[in-house]
Amino acid sequence: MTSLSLSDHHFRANALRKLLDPVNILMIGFLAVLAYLVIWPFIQLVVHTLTWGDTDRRLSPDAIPGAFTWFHWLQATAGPLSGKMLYGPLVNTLVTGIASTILALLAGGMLAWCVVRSDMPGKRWLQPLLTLPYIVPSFAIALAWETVFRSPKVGGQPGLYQSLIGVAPPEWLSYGAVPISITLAIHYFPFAYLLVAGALATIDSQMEEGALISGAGRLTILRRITFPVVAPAFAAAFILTFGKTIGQFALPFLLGAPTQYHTVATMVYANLALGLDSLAFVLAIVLIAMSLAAIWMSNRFVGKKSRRFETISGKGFRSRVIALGGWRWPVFTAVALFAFVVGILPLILLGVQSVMLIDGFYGWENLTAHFWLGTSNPDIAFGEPGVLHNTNILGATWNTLKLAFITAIIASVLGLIIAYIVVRRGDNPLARLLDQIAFIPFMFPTIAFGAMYLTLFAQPVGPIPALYGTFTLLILISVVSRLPYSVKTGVSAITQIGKELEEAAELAGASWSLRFRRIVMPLASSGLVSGMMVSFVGVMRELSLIILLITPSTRVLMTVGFGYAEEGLTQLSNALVLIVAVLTMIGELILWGIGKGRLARLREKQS
Amino acid sequence: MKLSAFRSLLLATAIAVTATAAMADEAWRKRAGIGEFAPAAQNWEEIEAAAREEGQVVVYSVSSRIAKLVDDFRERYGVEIIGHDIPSDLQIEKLRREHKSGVYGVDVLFNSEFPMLLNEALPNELVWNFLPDTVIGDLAENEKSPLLVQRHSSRVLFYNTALNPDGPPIDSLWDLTRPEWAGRTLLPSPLEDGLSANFIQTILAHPDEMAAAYEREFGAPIEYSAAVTEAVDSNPLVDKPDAAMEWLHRFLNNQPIFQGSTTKIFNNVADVKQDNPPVGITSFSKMRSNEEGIYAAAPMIDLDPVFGVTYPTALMIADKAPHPNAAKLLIRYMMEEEGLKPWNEPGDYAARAGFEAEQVREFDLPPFDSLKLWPIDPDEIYSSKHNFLALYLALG
Repeated sequence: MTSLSLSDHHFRANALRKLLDPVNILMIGFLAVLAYLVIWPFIQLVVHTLTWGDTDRRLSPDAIPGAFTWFHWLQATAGPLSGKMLYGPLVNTLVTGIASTILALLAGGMLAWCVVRSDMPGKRWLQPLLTLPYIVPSFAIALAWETVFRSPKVGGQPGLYQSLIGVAPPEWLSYGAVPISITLAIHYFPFAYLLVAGALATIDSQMEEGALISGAGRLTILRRITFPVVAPAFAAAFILTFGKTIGQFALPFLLGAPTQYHTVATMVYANLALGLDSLAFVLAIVLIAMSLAAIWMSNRFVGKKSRRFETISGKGFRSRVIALGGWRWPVFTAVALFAFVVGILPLILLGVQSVMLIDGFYGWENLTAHFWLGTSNPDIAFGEPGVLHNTNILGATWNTLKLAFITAIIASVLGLIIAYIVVRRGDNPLARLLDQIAFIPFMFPTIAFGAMYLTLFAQPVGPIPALYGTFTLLILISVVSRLPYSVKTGVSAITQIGKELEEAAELAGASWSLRFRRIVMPLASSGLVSGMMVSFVGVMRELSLIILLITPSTRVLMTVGFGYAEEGLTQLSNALVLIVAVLTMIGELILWGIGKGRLARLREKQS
Repeated sequence: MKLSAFRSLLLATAIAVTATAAMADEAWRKRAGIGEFAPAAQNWEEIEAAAREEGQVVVYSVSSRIAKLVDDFRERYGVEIIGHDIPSDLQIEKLRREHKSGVYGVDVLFNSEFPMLLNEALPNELVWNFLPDTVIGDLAENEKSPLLVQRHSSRVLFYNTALNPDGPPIDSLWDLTRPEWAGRTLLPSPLEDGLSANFIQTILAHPDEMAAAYEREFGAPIEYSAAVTEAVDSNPLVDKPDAAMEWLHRFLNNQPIFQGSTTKIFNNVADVKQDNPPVGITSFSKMRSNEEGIYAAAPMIDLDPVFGVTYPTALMIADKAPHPNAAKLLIRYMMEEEGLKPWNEPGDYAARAGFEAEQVREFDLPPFDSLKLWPIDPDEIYSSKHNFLALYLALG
């Protein structure tokens, strides 16, 4: 009798504890909020594909607006068009997605190792350079590729390759799978680089020294210690890179369209451009499914092994770099050359094009600072003043920086909390659901996402005021769209932190929020900063996500640049892209400085 | 019993809600003098005074050049132009969603997406036509209604004049399908660029003219390729093959080069320092970019059957515009010399006959009506979008 009541009491206390557990409360809270901010738009997307729209009478005489139909799905998967619209592009998507992801992970991983773990010289300034390709807009990389490997067919001046070698480059080098995979890898390897560098920074040299003393060779150490430790970071980088490369349409369009090489993402875009939204959404859902499958696979992989890779423990920490010996300078030369070609060269190209009075005409007499410093001259660019004289630019710069900083900070902190829930409650299906939901915005067609947010908060809902046309709405959609990055970087950071640190603090009576603020956040700071930088860069150049939500008073730099590009003012839009790139670099350095400072102080305290 | 009572209650509520919305809409039209409440004569003194009172006018504009009007308009009328730079199709999407949630913020749409305007925005009363009486005598019927047209832009075929001193290297659209022109036509991808899709769709809408042009070019009646017959067989929405489809099939299989930017296409065609210049389909108004010794290109105005496709840009008032009088004032202004100035360039023709005559003199171009251009058919383009995608993918 007594024992029964005791166990009953025990059970209730346990249930109560579970109910009051702040992590569980947070998990439920996040699920509820994301249900509205992510699932609801997603459901709208799915419903849209399964109902006849007002405009579908164009597609079929049987259309009854509002009624249920499989028509759009059948069209895309089984109709006469399906081969050209879905299956062909699907193969191309898989080929370029996998090829570019492998290339990006290899490049990012090797570079991270060189920068963090070796004694390569010049690390201090190589480090920021290696994130440049992500800062440089993808079209600039495509532009650089075209400048070199331009086919003589497209007219104008011959490419660099042809000028130097004397023969035209083969077509597979100018357009199609090869250039798309390589340029995508160049654009996205910084994900892998940042994430793996963050993980490598937490490796305790004592583990490696221990192995060395036990007689393990260099390669064995790399294989048995270094690689397993960074595996979660690689997994996160794999998902982000794969997801991003299969969803990217700008690069495949530039380098694939000239020869009709289509991917699923370019087909989504094409259908949207033609106003065929339902078909576009069907293809977008295919992309979402593909990336969710990739997450599921990598979660299985990381979930099984992650416990073994906890590297941040309560014990002392020492980090010692590995001597490269005679390889120091050759490695440095290779890395520096790589950084120059993929990071700086495209920027130089943009810079050169922004000081040419007449675009595409190379000659000293054609150089001008007008597009930077000039005041309005009716003979040049229809009287448009130089970018530094444009009154819109100052306001837009302030808006852009505000949006990027606030979004980066909110997104990475929220991402870290969600990541904490995902990792620490990994056995709870709700936590895994949260992980999947947080990734959906990654693959959402951005224009459609923006359109749904336009009126999501048009009227006040409970305590939330109407957000239509406000800056807050821009921050909200930017944060949600960046969650996939920050959750993934957060997961790779949290996986490395041993539970015992928190358990000790808990025994000492520290509350969860105190533990999170004082233990988890500082220890995850290198991952946190990586997440912030990735989010920051993304928001700086976002356009299609927010184009419908921008008002003249919340204008950002990319909308000004869009105006220039639309008018064919190439030099002005190049100058603006350069400004965005430079501001992004400054912002990154600030974020990096903050993060590094915190991490350094922490290390000092530990040792 | 209970259920039916509930149902009728629901129905009554629904009717009441619809009726209230309709009444609110009617009240707005009455106040704004729009639609059936448009006054017989426009009192511009009153409109101007009311516009000053309203103080601002919000525009969704397809062209960022709207910013150039801000200072002059403020000086003249004391009204601030708030210009949102948004592509035409997205303007309609934005307006539609705003209306659905009861947000009414925009006054004027400056938009060239006629297929969607005439088939979605206008019939659903999202926008209203407004015709300033000051310009009536200067416009053709189809420029006054269903929507007020400000100007006509075109996508046309350009050639390099420096390297073709004897004139255009081709004389027919069918030349683009000849082997010697393989891989030498530049255009924006019709799958990426709505105007490029309109271009191809407009050609598809003229099969008879394309058949006649084929005979003039090759001296024999056209025969259809197997791919065209197959594409027709597999598409329930198309009855029989025609010459325009055949042209699209041959053109797409002659390796056209798709490039994203119309500026780049013009530059690549016009660059004088090259050996074998391509031809390109780009905006007529790009001819302003010609530079002595650097860029030299001209439209091939004698091409058979046409050298391009033309489309109008319209001005209209948004439903429930908060500043209807300022909207009217701005629309009138943008039809006048000062308000048209940012768009006064060779290749873009003002709708107003008086201004067009000036442009013809100033730029030394033929009058608009004499040009061999096909105007887009908004209804045809709107209703055959999907069919076009199907044909395009099947024939490519």
